[in-house]
Amino acid sequence: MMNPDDILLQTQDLMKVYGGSQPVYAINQVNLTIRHQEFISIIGPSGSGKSTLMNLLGLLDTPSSGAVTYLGDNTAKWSERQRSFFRNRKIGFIFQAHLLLPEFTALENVVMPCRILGESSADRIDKAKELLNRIGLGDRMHHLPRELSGGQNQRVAIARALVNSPEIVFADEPTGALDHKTGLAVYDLMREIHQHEGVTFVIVTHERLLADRSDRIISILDGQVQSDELKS
Amino acid sequence: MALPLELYIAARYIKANIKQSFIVMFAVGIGVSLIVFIPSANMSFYGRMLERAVEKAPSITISREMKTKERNRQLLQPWFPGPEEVRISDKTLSRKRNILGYRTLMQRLAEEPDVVTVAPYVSEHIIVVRGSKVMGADLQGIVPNLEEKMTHISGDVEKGDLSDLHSNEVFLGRKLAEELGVDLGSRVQLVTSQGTRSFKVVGTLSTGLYAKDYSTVITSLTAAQKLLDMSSTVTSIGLRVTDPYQADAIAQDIRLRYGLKAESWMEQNKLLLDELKSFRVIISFISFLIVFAAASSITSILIMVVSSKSKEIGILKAMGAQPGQIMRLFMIQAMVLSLIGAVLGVFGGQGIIELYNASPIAKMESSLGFERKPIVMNIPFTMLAVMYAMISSFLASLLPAWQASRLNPVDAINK
Repeated sequence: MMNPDDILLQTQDLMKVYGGSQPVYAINQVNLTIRHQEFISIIGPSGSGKSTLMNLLGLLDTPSSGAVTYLGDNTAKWSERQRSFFRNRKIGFIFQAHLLLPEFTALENVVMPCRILGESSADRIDKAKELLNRIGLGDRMHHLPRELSGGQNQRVAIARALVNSPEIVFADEPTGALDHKTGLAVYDLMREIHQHEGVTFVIVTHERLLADRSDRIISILDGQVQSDELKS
Repeated sequence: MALPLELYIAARYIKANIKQSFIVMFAVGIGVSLIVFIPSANMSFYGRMLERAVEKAPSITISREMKTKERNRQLLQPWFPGPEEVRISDKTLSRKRNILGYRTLMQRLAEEPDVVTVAPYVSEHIIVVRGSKVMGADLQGIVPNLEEKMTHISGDVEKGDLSDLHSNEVFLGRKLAEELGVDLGSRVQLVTSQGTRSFKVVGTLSTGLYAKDYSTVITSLTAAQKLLDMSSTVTSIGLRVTDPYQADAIAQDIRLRYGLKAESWMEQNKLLLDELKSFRVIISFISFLIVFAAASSITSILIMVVSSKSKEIGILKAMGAQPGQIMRLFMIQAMVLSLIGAVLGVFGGQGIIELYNASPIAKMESSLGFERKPIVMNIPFTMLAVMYAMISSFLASLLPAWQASRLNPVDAINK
């Protein structure tokens, strides 16, 4: 029996349907439970619905029906403002293309989630610097994204996702735009952060080799969970 | 203290997209420059005309005694204001054109509470002859010291001393003297229907009004009376009142109480005032169109910016930025750009004014009969232009800013 306090996130009959007369079920009746400090990979072929599922779980999108519950609270009742606030405080995102703000330096990008909340104190900046040092970019923190390599930018995106000490980080194909070696390094970095910080990671990937290095693999096909494998 | 998020990002966007920012600032700047220059140029022109109409002429001119029938009709009007026909029988339909007993009348008018100065005039169209040259002109007989109080005429004197004007001496308009080829000490013949007399030119006047400088002949009141065989009558009496903008009401009062024809400067310059009013409407409309065009550039450029920044907007929203923050970000961007543009526009407008003033065009005489003087920046219009530019930019930024704030983060990131 699972201790309710261990549960971070749950979905109940989650559905995302597009179109009218001929509906497309992007996510179909998905029921998942994600516990604190898990390191999960969601795998599936292109178009299987894994990114849509991540967007629903990360409150970037709203389901057609069903519910996403965080820490026992049904998010369907939340206003846009509450969802934005929750994303800022509790969720970190890493995207395939790093999606850094090109006009801002690495350090400014990392501090941005704090600024959104009106917090840009010296403590926050120190934390951002510490994160950048930890991921090996201490000497590049004042560089613009265009002055950094793809792997370095993705590491900046990881630091940005972590700056507000989130409960959970969603990463959508975080190594997709990187070569294999750099991709592995980025994956290892996320793994290391997970182990040290205890942050829950949900990584969407189509690379089985990377998924195999996580603790739990959820396989998605045609919007449905095909398998949910907990590795020992 | 750290900048608010919206200003922080907007400032960076402006700096990073300097070309687009420059286009917006340039468009707003041009609009504001034109709004500063065009009204300043025209208001300076009309302003001078109005100033002259108020200061260089009597506030009220009593030109002749009113027809008694007309006076009776006006007196009866309070009792018969409706459409009823009131038959007024008056055997004396009009009195003599010239004002008889003008000294007594002047004394009475001078005692009126709103009247500051009273001066008599004898006016007539005459012909001025000098050798083979013959010119039409407007003779005005004045009392120099009273005229000084009335219109500060000494300010218009180019040569000579008007306070020392004797019988058989005249002042001519500068252009008229040039046309006749006369200078101080020359003699001219003044021809009227009552006869011809010779006068010595003792001065010239330069009023700035081309037509006036081309036609004015000034003599003393008594010389004009003698020339026109008017004995001790005058053709008009001028009044200067304490508040020139009350001249209409005071003139109406004088018409009723004295039975005299009294015209205010507003009635005499009705065309000018109407022109001024319609001019203001036209200028406001043109200004609206100019800034509207500038504001349109803000809308289109911001729409482009929002489109090109959709991924960044998406990521900001994913990181928890509120729709209001996104909206304010783009509105602040538009407002900052238009404020800089408007300030540059004010300097640009001042620059155009100074260029114009320094150009040969500004020194040419206007064909409208008015000497051009340096254009002065119209401060109220300038302030209005800046305010209008800001309001227009604010409105122009609403749609793209709103679109940005409504972007779905998933759609924006995947664009």
